[in-house]
Amino acid sequence: MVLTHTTNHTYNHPFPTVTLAFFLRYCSPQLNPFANHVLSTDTISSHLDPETGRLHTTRIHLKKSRMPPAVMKLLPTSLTGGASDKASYILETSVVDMREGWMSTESRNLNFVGVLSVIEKQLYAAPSKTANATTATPAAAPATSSNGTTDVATTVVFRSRLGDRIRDRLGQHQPAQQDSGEGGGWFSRLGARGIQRSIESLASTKTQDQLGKSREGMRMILERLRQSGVIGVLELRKMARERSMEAV
Amino acid sequence: MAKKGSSPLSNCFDSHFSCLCIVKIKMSQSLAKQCNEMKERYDTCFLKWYSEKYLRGSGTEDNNECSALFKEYSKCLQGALKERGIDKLLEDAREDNKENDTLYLGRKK
Repeated sequence: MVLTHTTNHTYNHPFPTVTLAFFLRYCSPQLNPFANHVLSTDTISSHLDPETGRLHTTRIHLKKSRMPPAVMKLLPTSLTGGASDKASYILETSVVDMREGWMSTESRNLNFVGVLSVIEKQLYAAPSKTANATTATPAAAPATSSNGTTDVATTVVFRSRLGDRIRDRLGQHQPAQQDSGEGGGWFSRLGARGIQRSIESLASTKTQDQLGKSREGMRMILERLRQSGVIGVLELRKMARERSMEAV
Repeated sequence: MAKKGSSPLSNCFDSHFSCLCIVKIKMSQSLAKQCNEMKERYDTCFLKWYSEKYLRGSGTEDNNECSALFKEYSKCLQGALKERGIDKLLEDAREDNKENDTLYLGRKK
């Protein structure tokens, strides 16, 4: 059971700026109003490979549950649990190669994986890199590339293994036909395969909406960075802050 | 909090550091409240290093002045990850990753 969804997009911003926006995208709801569902963001590792010059970063985001309500309705409360399940931990790994001009990212949910695993992979690259592969040497410093666009290919893989573990467990202890256990009864009534497929396709539809919003959020950060540069964004923030301090 | 002289906010008034202010002003939280300050110090440092050094092709592990801040932050965070069982989830994800990649993406890691 697996469903894959792929999209391509081009940002009208240079590659280094786009990578900066990627790291900034959850940092402030003022900067990215589409990030209101992000409750926390933490870096758990950050490592620069001295050989390749690649920066490897791992972060954990806590987001308000992105499990679609329609999926939740399909599930028995024994699986969806209580209020604590309203948030999901997302593991995000990224590798940036500034010499070669690409960034590869992967995000996956850490909880709910027994119900639905969503893995989003993105590859950001400056188009000049492919058009002009011979310049991909450290000396060419693609970071300063004047080419103003960045391509991103996004692949999302949905996989529901709902019931697989329960079946595995049943299989170890008794013949598979005897689906009289707690999980077995529920699955045999509804058909685990059908449910898995429904979960995958519901999640896929919802994710396509989310991808649009996530691009919108990136675009807003990028626009601010373009209009005023990194420094300008900060000035805006500073002014906003001063204003709010005066108000207090 | 902005009144403390040592606050990273003071950096906001120096244009070179200003990108960090984005982070400072209404920054996302750490999942562990007690790590918030350390996280902010590290994030601020990271964004400065990233935009001023790494993106300009001059970032190296040696000139990464954020390492010490990261150690401090990480130490705080590790406890919180354990407490919430996230360390266990991370292990599961790593195992699952291998399985998924081989099964569905035709990739081997």
